[in-house]
Amino acid sequence: MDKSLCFKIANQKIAHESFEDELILVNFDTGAYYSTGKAGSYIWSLINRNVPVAFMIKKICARYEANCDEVEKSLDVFLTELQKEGLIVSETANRGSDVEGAGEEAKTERTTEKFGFEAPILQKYTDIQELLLVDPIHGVNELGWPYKKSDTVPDSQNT
Amino acid sequence: MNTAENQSLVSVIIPVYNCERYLAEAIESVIIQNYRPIEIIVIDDGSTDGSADVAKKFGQAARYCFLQHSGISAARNRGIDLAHGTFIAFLDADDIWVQNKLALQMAVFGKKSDLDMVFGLLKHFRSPELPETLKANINCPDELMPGYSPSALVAKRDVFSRAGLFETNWQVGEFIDWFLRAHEIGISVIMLPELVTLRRLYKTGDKSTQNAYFSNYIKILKASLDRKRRA
Repeated sequence: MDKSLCFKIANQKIAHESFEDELILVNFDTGAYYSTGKAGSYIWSLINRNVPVAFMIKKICARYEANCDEVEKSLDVFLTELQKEGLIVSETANRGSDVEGAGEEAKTERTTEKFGFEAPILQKYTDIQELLLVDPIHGVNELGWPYKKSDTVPDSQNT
Repeated sequence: MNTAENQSLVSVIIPVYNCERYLAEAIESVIIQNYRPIEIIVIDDGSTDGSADVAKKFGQAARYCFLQHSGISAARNRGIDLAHGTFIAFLDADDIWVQNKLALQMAVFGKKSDLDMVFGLLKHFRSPELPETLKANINCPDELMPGYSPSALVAKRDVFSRAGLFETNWQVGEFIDWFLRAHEIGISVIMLPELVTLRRLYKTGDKSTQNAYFSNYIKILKASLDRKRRA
């Protein structure tokens, strides 16, 4: 993989949220959803900051107790999988890439205790694919089905 | 409750919140169903517009129940509580059924006694009274879609005893949450390959709506994954 590449989330229909133990991703264009563990969640945070692959490897090696060759291989597999699923797209590093910040953080992380590294795996679920594709929010305002009378947002779209 | 005609009573629950414009059409689409027996229960979730007047004009054809504003899940749950039927169907107040929806779905139950739920296909339509400029901004899929939606569902009443009622803590995604719980305990489902419901589109979503929606759904999926892992 070209280490100068960075990535970005493919489009606005990709939703993501990190929890203590995992990252959940949903592709609302396909109805598939995904889970990945802590390493995958960390990598996703780097993707979100447009960190180039070369710096991703440095940061992961600084953060985790791992052989850097293995990190590079598993990162390559993981990024390829994310691309294949349409969750991320590659782009050349640009001014928005947080390269300096990533470099500084890598230095700091080298001095703190390292985490055990498990190669990130992207677990895919398609059990409710069609359900997710049927967009249920056609009549929903910012607050969902309005809950309190005082929270109701005036609807200026209906005449 | 079986009638002399040996057809099961279907309770049709229509939750409504400030939907005076479309409610009559929804109720009428149930009344003209060519399946009998049915009962219609309109749960007014504290509407402040004329929804109550619209519902009450149907007299005994549609039972009306007012609820202090509590959210759509609470409204659907109240409807289940009031229902007399051995089968439960739902219709959102802004959607419409095709005339043979219940007949098609109940026929499937007649052939498969161990079936728990039947859905059917759903078609979107832009509400016709909208100005053309607004219609142009509404993304309306042309194709029929699998209607995994309350408006396209008929379920045996005992499904709600087994899977539980709708959770009232979700702002959106409450149906997906319920469906996942039903799915996890092996509730049997068929998707009928025929059009049963017309879903009305009349508002556009915006970024803030979408973000809240996405976050809510992710939490629902996370909760489902955690339940499956604990099982």
